[in-house]
This record gives sequence, C-alpha cells and structure tokens, in this order.
Amino acid sequence: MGVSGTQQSEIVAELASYLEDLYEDQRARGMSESEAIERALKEVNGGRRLGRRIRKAKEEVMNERTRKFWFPALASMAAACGLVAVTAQLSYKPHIILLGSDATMLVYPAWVLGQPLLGALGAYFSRRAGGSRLTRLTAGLFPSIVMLAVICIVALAQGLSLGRGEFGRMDWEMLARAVMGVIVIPSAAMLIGAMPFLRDPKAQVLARN
Amino acid sequence: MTKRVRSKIARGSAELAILALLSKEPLYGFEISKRIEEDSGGALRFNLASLYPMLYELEKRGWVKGQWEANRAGRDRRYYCLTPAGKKRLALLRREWNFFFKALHRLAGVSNA
Repeated sequence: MGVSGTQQSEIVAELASYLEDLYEDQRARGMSESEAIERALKEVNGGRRLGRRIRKAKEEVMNERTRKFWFPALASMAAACGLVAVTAQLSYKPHIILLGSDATMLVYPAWVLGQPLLGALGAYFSRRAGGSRLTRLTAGLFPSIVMLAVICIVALAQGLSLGRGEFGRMDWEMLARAVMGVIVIPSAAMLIGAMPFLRDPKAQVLARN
Repeated sequence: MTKRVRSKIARGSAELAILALLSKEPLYGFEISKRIEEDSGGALRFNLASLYPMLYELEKRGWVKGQWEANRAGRDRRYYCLTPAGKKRLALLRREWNFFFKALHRLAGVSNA
C-alpha cells in the first residue's frame, strides 16, 4: 500500500472493525447473514482505488510549518543568493552616499532594486500555503533577517576579540551605517514587494465578516 | 425531491460534517458514518471508501487525533477526537459555509436551515 508495515496493519484492523460494525448493524436491522455480508463487502468495491486514496491521505508530506514558512523563506533566500551572484557577475558597483563631512554609506542599487521581488516571493508562497500575516512578513524578509544575524555575530566576534573593556572602542557609527545600507534600506524595499501579499485573499476576509 | 444530496456537494461538506460531529464527543469510524447519516436525515452518507481517506487526511493535518481504545464489548476501536487546531479549523469552516449560504440565498433564493 505504500505505507509502513505497522501503519498498514493498523489500517487493515480499523477497516475490518468498520466492516464488522456494519455487519452487526445490518443484522440488528433484520438483514440475513448473507445479505449483511454482501452489504459489507460492497463497501470495499474498488479496493485498489481505496488503497490509493488511503495511501495518498497517509503519506507524510511537508508539514504545515514547512509549507507556510520554511519553504517560502528559503525560496526568498535562494532568490537573494541568485541576485547576489548576478550583481557580482555584472560587476555592479556600490553607490556611495555622503553623510556629513567624513561619513559615507554604501548602497548597492542593483541589489536594492531586486529586493521587492524577494519580498514578494516569500510572502506569496507563504500566503498560498495559508500562512498568517506575520508568517508571510517573516518569510518575505527572511534574507534580511539572516543578514542581520550574520552582522550581529560578526560584531560580537569582533567585540570579543578586542577584549573586555575594549568593546566600547568598536566603531558603532560605522556599524550603524553598514546596517542601514545593507539591512534597513533593502528591507524596506523587500517590504514593498511583500505588502500586496500581506492582505488576506478576498474570500477569507468576507468569510470572516 | 431527491432525498440524498448529490455526491459532489456531499464531498465538499465531509470535512465540516466530521469535525462538527467530533466537536461534541470522540467517535469511532462506523459511529461517525452512522451519526452523519442519522443527524442529516439521510441526506448525507459516507461509506468506508469516502470516510476513511477523509479521516486520515484530517489526522495528517492535525485537526483530529485517532487513538485505539477497547470499548465495553472488548473490541478495540480507533476513536477520533478533535484537536485544538481542529476546533479552529471548524470555526473557520462554519464561517465560510455561512458566508456561502448567504451568497447562495442572494443569488438563487436558497436558504439554510
């Protein structure tokens, strides 16, 4: 049947129990033994089709969390990696934004322009799987969340390497500018792409009302 | 007037029927089938071939949970009960069906009970 041996035994036992109950019920209603047996056997007409339907119902497919979050998030992440590869191949240079007299911030326009697509991809797949609004948002922003985590880990490692008491010597301003250019601005662009998919489909909204 | 609802319509209501029944008390397969037929006045009838794939699907989705128990007669039966996720699913289905019946009523003058 395509399910494990134990599962198969349980299914057979359960279906057999149903047929026994049906037989007894028919007998209690006055049917003869042969009529009741025939009635019960009719229930399993098309046994192969029944077996296929049960196998399909029992097969382990992606669980809810994978369908609603991980698959959309990783799809968004994979698209982000693809975008990085493309922009690197095409040697797009960063745009330097001057902030005051001696501070700069790097922004990669080609990277930013591609962010709405990443946000839309994650949010779309999550909505299609029935994800909540928060799940859709998180799936859409997943590449930025990962990038933020990486920056935090690198900053922490650098801080630890400077030694105790030297943590304050880190260039927090530079870090903030990097976060702005690499996380905040792309995230805002991702959010723009995700926004159309943060709304619930019309039928669900009407049903809720 | 046709006493039994046509299979296409009946199939669409199977999930609602099963979850609604299990919201009252845990039941085993044959009981579920019998209660649906009785409570619907014979309009809905699910046999083994239509009931069990649906039950297993609901169980896979985490909306019902099946457990083997010995009943008073000593025969082991698999009882199904509604999970908390199943209660939420039932609430959503009820809202959707209410919305559907209202739409049908506006369109075709069909009213629910």
